[in-house]
Amino acid sequence: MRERIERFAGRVRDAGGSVHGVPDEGSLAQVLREILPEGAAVFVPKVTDLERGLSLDWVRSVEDPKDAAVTVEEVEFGIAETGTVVVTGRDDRPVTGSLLAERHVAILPEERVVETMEEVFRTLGEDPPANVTFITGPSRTADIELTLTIGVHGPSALDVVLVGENSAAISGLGNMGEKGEERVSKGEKYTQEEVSHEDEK
Amino acid sequence: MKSGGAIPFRENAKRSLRDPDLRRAMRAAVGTFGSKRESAVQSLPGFEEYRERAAETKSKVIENLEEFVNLFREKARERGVVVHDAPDAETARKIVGDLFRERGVRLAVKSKSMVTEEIHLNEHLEKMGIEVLETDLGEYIVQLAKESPSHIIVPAIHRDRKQVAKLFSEKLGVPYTEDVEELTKVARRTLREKFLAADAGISGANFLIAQTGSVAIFTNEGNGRMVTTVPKLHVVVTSVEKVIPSLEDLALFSRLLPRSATGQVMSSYLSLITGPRREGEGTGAEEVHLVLLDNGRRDIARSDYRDILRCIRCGACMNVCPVYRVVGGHAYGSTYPGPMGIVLTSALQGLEKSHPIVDGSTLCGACAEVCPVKIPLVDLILALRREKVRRGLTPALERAGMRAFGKAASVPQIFSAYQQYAHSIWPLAKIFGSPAGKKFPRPERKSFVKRVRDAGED
Repeated sequence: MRERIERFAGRVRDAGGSVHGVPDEGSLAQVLREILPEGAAVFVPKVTDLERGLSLDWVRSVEDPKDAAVTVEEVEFGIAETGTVVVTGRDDRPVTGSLLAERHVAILPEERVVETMEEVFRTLGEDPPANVTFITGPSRTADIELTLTIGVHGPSALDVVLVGENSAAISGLGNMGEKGEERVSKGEKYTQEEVSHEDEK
Repeated sequence: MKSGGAIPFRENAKRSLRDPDLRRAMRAAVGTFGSKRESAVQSLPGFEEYRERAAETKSKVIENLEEFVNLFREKARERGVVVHDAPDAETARKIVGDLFRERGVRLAVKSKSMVTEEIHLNEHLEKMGIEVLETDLGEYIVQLAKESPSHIIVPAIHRDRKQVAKLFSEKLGVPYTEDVEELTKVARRTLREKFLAADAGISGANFLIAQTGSVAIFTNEGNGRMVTTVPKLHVVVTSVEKVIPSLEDLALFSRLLPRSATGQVMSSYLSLITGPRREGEGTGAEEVHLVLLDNGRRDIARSDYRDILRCIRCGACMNVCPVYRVVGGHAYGSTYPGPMGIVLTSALQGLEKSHPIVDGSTLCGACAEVCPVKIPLVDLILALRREKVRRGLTPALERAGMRAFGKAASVPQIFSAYQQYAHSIWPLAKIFGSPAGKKFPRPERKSFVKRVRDAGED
C-alpha cells in the first residue's frame, strides 16, 4: 500500500500537481489552512461525511463554481499508474467545480488509490454516471510554439491531499518548471536544474 | 469537397519551402515532439504489446463495423443519447444545423474535432447566422486567422509567437505581447465568457464505447470539459470507426494516445460522457445528440486501405515525417495531413483528387515505426502509388520513361549501353539538367557485372 501511495504521489508531481499527506481526518484542516489563503472564495461541490467535519472558517464559501478561486472536494479515486484523480457527477456533484476554479484541491482517502484505470472502470460497472472525469495535473497547453503553459481553461494548480497512515510522510511540489516554486510554500523546493531535468524526462 | 481538380501538392510544397516563417516554426516544433514521445514510450514497459493489442482491437472493430456500431448506437440510446446516422458530410451538417435552428441556438462553443473540419461544419453554421467559437487554443488561433489547422493535435503549429501576438492584438484589441503565458491568459479570459454564455457545445470524440454507449474525449486545456458540461445542449460529431468494444479497451488506448500524441503519460483530462445528466447527478448536458458520420468509411472498411481506419489521430506519424516536417500541413490541401493524411484523404476523396499527395513520402518508414496502432503506412502509400500508375494518373512522360527504363533494365546489354551513353553525356547533363538531376553522381563507364568480371580476370 505504501509503495503504491508513493508511486501515485510521484506521478501526480510528474504531471505538475502538488501532493500533501496527512495521517488522519483530524489533520486535514491544518493542511488546508496552509493551502487556502485567508478569505479565498471556496466552492465545495457537495459536502461529504469527511468534509462535514471540517470547518473552513477562514475562507469565504461560494455557491457557484464559476465564482470560486478554489474548489475543495473529496474525489472518488486515485490511479497510481498515472497520478490521476477521478471525479464523477454522482450524488448531485457538479464536476465543473474542478474545472472553473483557479485551483483544485482534491481530498483523497488513501484506500481509494487503485493501480490502474481498468480498476476504476470495473468499479463503475456497465452503467457509469453521465460524467466521469479523469484529472491528471493542472490544465495545460503547448499550442503556441509547443511552449508548455499551465492553466488554460481549467485550474492552474492541482493539490492532492492524501489522507491515511501511509500518506503522512508524503508531500512535495509538482515538477512543472519554475512556476512550481512560487505555487505552494510547502514541501521541498526543486532547483532549476532538477526542474529542467524533469521536463525532459 | 469532391469538386475541383487534384490537390496542387507540388505547388503548395514549393510555396512552403520559400516561406521562412513556416520553416522556422516547423523546425522549432517537430523536434520537441519526437523526443518527448520517445521518453514517454520508454516509461511504459510492454509498450509493444499494448500496440499489438490496440491494433488487433481496432482491426476487430473494422472487420465487424456494423455490429459494433449497432451495439454502440443501442447502448447510447438506452442512456438517452439521440443518435443520428449521417451517410455524408452534407447530411451531417444539416442535422446539426436543424438541431440548432429548432432550439434557437445563437452561440455554440466547440472543442477540437477533425470530423467537423472534414465536413466543414463551421462554415455551414456561420451561414445560418450562428456564432461558432473554437475553444482549443490552437484552433482559436487558426480560426482568428481564418485558416485551417495544419496539424491534427497542434492546429497552429505553423505559427510562431510573434504571429500569434500580432493576431491577438489586431483581432482582440489587447496590448501586443509575445509572452506565451500572457497570450494564453488572453484566450482564457475571452473564451471563459463565451463558455458560460453558450447555448450549445460541439465536441468530437476520441473513442466511442460500444459496451456502455459512452463518448471518451481527451483534452489538456479543459475546453473539452467545458463544452460538454456547461451548455444545456451537447452535440457530438464523430465518425463510425471511433467505436471500440469496452471500457477496458479505453484504458488500453489511454496508455497509447497521450504518449504518442504529446509525449505525456496521460492527458490532463479524460472525459467519459454517457448520455445526458440523470436524476440525482450533478453534471452533464440536459440533451446529448450524437452525429455518426460515415462519409465513405464503410467503403474503406471493405477496401484494401481498411487499416487506415485503425488510426486514433495522435499525429505521431506527421511529427516524424521528413516531408511533413518541411512542407507543413497546409501543403497537403486536406483536413488530414502527413502520412496518415495521404492514405485517409485518398481513401475518402479518391485518387483523382488526392494523387499528387501520394508522392509526398520518402517511404523511410518512420511513420509506421511510431504508429501506436501499427498501421502499415508505407505499404498503404505504395499501394496508392501502384494504383495511381495503374489508373494513368502519373504524367505521360514519367510513364513512358519508366516503361523504357523497365525494358532496358531487364536486358543487361541494353542497360550497359545506356550506362555508357549516360557516362559520356554527363558533363552536358551537369549544365542543362534539372537541379535535382545535377546532384546525381556520374554513372560508371562500365557496368557493375563487367567490372566484377574484369577484376576476376586480373
